[in-house]
Amino acid sequence: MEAGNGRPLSTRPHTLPSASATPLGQGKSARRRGPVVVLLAPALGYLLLLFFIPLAILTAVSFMGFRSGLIVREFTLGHYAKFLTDPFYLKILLTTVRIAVSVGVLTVMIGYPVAYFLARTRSKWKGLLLALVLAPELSGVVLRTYGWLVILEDRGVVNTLLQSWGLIATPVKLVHNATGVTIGMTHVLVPFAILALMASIQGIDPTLELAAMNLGASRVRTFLRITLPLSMPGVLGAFFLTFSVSAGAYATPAILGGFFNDTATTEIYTQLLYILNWPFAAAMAVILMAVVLAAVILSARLAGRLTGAPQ
Amino acid sequence: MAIPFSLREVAPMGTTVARFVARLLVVMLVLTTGMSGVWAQPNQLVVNAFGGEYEEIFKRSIKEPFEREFGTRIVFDSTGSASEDYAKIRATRGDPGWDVVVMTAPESILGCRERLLDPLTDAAVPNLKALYPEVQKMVAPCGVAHEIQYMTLMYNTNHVRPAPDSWKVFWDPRYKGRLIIPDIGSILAVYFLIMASYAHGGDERNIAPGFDAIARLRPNALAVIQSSAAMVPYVEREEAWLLPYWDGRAHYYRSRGLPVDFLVPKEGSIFLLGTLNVPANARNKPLAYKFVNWWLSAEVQRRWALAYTVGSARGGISFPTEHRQAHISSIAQVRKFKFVDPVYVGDKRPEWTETWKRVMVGR
Amino acid sequence: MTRDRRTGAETVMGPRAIRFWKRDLPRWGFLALVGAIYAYMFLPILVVVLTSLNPTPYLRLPPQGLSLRWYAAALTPDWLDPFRVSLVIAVASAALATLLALPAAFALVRHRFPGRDVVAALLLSPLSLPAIVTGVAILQFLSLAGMRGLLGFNSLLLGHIVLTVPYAIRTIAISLHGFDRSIEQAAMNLGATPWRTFRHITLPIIKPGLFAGMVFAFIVSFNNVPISLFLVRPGMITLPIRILNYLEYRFDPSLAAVNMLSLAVILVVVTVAERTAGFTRFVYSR
Repeated sequence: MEAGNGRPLSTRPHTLPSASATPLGQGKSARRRGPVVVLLAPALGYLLLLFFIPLAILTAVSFMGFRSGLIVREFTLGHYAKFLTDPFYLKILLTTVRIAVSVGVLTVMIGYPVAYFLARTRSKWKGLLLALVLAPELSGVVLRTYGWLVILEDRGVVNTLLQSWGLIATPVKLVHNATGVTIGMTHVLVPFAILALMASIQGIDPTLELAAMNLGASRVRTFLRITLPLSMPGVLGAFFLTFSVSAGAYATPAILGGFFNDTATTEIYTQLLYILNWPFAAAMAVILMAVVLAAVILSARLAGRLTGAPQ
Repeated sequence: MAIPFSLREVAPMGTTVARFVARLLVVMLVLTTGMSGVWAQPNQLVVNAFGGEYEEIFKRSIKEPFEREFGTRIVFDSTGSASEDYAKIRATRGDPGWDVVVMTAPESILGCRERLLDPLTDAAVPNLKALYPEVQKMVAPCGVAHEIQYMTLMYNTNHVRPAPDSWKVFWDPRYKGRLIIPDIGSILAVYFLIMASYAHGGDERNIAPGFDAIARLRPNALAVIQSSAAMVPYVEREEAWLLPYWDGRAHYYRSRGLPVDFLVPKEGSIFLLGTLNVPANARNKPLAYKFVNWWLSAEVQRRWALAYTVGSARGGISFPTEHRQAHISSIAQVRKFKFVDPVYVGDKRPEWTETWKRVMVGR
Repeated sequence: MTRDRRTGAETVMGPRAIRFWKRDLPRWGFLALVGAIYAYMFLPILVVVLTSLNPTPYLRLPPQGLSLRWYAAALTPDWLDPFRVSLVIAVASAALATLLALPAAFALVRHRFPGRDVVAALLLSPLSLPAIVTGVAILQFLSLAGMRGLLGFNSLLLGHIVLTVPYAIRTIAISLHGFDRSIEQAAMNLGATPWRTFRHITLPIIKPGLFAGMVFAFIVSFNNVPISLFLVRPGMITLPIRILNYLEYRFDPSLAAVNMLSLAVILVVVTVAERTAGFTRFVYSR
């Protein structure tokens, strides 16, 4: 069995993963830029051609005017100024970020136990259990979101049950607001967090946990002192992933937010597709992307300083 | 090169990766056999319209008869709503790969102003002269009005009694929580806003009363929904009792046995023109003109209006009574509706959208 | 060793009680939690399943009977062809995205170079841009570059890879972070070439990350609507686009049946892969 052979080889250092960035590796690569360029070239080149150049062309539109339904060839910063000075749009941006942060935190919290379970279980059904986690992802985003609608609506399953048990008098508002969007989007993204966390937890040598418990530490203590710190790269990685994706998601906010609760993305869709105000839509998209990327970079640095985990 | 003992032992894992990738490639090759898309060819017309019911009706009453008559082939593309289609036309500078595209009046007018659609002349499409002139001139020269629908008040017959006679029924406290409001992204919402304004003493040039009324309506709404198809489940479950809708499909749902009916309230309503358009850089323009012209003939107009339960765009066609009562079938009927200037509405839409959002989006 | 000994409360308990509090209770509590999360994951799917088996053309809860009529409606070329397109694109974009992502993830985790944070952010940026904007931008670019002929299979594949590469980079980077490089060093000291070391040491250890990246990429591609919407061509559409087109005019349970069938087919494919290629082994062993 391969795992038996692999395990002695993969003994982890008893420190945080930052130790993997050994001084040796650092010093060498700082002097030799060649390999970095070669390694980055395929992905960066690909995205340059099919993402950054197309995006740059569209971004050029964001500096053009828009009058009576037509794009006017002139230079203006008006669309950026409008978005960044109007409290209405700033509030939409804030809502988007707030929902994205909640979704990021919730997906990691909900995903962690399952990821840990799947990474450690010795059940012969683990293949099936893993497939079950992923199955909801393949059952259609739109339909699944309507499934939530049926469950969460004023006359939906949850409210009907709560009312028939006499727990509440009037329906609790669970959809057509930020709550609904968060519930639905968390559900969509939990499997993503699980996979990302698994990638990290599987890299932790189980013998470390066994050793801690043999020395008398409780399961909870072992988890808090050994497993959790060692899986921080996975926790942060999963958070950034689900945070970024939920900021740009459309279907779930549109259906469960019900247009009472605008996110930056639903606003971008409206402007791009229905109002056909591409300059404003492009400006909003650029702002949203910049905000999300800045948030990711800043919090990665902060987290790196706090935990020592390089991101 | 000496390979350490321990490396030999883990070697099978490396080959598992290789085997996995190899199997993946084989599966892909098998799956891709015989896959190819369809693209413009000389004797072939690519038509973009809508999916679902529309597609089935189109196949029966347009595609097959046209193919028989002209010995040609129609490739039907159902991808995209009218506004998504327009975004595609704009992104490709008038070369989206279709010869004819079915959209609505706002896209036709904008497409002409942006020079992304082909202006059609009487010479190329002789049947243009047969259309109601005052209707066709609203979308000319790039759009061709080939069907007329109108915004109707659809209501649940079990719960809304007596039948409403005014758009003001939406503000009736008895129906609180039973209304569906379309989202401003759809033209249905724009029309609803305008009629709300009319019902409260304004009109499209004085839209403020409309927004005041919509603001009061907000807490009463069951849901705000963009796509008219997505409203239907609420109607089927009898959770929504009142909503603005299009006559064509309101008719369809009524005939399917749902407890609904539809009418034009006393304040009137607004019609929506379905249009045929030829993108500026379409590949097969001569055949496209023939197709447009053919769709405007009296016979095809009648067949389409009956099959899709919508109004025809030309007069002089005899329809059964039931159809005449439910849909527009004469110029006299057209004139009962408000002639809202689509250019003016197009200009105002960005502004109205923003105001709407400020009114609707929650605290 | 720790507080347990020092606090008086523990000494009163027998070994069995200590075992219960320290080992069994956390264990059962943990399994219950995992079970609850599985239930949460499947709640809305249950609604979709009920819808697909519903005899009436719209969903009523509780259901009014059982019917397979929607499944019959789903088994037509109208649905099967787009399903096949989606499957091929998803598999291909998963494989190609992983190939592009692997070296990039190495560069980001293993090397320190100026502007590394910015490069990392740039490589992830397609995630946070609303995909509809990406779709429009790519279509506009292909059209301007005179490459509209690529629309259809090629452009779908190219466009989906833009979206799937960031996922693969992120997950591979995660598995590389926990990597003890002394093992590689040991292998090389024992005389293994860099390639052999990579193939026999590095690759097996980062496999969970590779696998996660591929699965993400598959799911993201298989579900994508906004990019596909702009890159399809007549006769070459994906399953989500087919569903979207259908939704423009009709909202009936055949869509639920289509989704359930496609899920079933994928699970069967995965099971076959498990039997032949060792799917679980691929994920779990290292």
